[in-house]
Amino acid sequence: MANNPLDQFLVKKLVTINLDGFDVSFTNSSVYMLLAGFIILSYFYFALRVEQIVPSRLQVSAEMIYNMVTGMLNQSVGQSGRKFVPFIFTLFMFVLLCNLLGMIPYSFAVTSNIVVTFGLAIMVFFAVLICGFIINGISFFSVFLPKGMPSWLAPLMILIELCAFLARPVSLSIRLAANIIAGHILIKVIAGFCVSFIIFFKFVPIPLIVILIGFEIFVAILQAYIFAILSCVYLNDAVNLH
Amino acid sequence: MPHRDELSKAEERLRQLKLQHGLANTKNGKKVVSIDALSIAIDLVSSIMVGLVIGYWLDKFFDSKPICIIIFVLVGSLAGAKIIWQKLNIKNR
Repeated sequence: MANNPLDQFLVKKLVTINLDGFDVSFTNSSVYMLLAGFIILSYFYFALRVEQIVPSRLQVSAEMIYNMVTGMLNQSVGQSGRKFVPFIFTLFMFVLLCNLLGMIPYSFAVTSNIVVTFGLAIMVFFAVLICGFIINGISFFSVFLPKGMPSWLAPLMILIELCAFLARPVSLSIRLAANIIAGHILIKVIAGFCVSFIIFFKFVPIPLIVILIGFEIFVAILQAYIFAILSCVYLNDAVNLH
Repeated sequence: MPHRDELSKAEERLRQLKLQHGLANTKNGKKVVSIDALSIAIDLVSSIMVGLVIGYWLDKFFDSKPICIIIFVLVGSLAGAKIIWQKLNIKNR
C-alpha cells in the first residue's frame, strides 16, 4: 500500500515511435515540454499583440521579464551581451515553466530528469565554447591561464582551470535536477505521513505540506533564475576573457 | 543647461574610475551571483567527479592503473576548492 516516492519521476511512453532502432517515443515528459512551449508562446502573443506606449498590465509583465533578462546580461557581460538575449531568455522561460508545471498535482516535473537538465547545460557549455572561439579566436585558451601566476605553476594551473571549466555543465545540470527531485520527494514522503499517521497526528502534516509546496514554488523560480544567471556568467568568460 | 553637463561629466568620471578598479560590470561594487549551500556542495562534488572521469579515461588510454586517477582526483578537488573560493570571494566583497 506504501507509495514509492520515486514513482513520480518515471518517464512513461505514451506513443511508441521507433525510428530505425532509435527510440523517439512521445513520453509524458514530452507532453509537459510541449505544454510549456505552448504556454510561453501564447502568453507572449497575447501580451504583445497590441503594443501600446502606455502598456496594459499583461504587456507590463512581459516587458518586466524582458527587462530582467537584459539586465542580467548587461550586469554580467556588458553591452556586447545584447546578442545573447534570445538565448538566455528562451532558456530562462523554458526552465521556469518546466519547473512550475511540475508543481501541478499529478503532473510530471520535466527538469527532474537529469537527461533534460544535462541537455540544457551542455547546450550552454557548447554555446560558451563556440562563441568564445568565434569572438576571440585562438586566444580563447588564455581563459585557462589566470593572470599573475609564476611560470613554474602554469601547467598545474592549466589542469586545474580545465577541470573547473569542464565541471560547469555537470554542476549546472545536477544543481537544477537535485533541487527539483529533493523538493518533490520531500512533499511525497510527508504526504505519505498524512495517510499513515492519521490516527496519531490527525491532520497535522497538511499545513506542513502547504508550507512545503509554497517553498517548492519559490525554489522552482529561484533555480530557473540561478540557471540563467550562471549561464550569463559563463558567457562573460567567453566574451570578455576574465 | 549647465547642471546636465556637470552630471554627464561626473558620470563619465565615475565610469572611468570604475573601469580603473576593475568594477566595470558590477552593480554597487558587487557582481551579483546568487548561491546557496547546496550549490557550493554540488560544485565541489562535480569537479571531483570530472577529475575522476578524466583520470580514469587517461588510465585506460595509458594503461597505468592508479596513477592518473590519483593525480586527477587531486586536481579535481583543487579545482572544486578554487571554484568555491571564487564564488565566496564574489559574495563577500
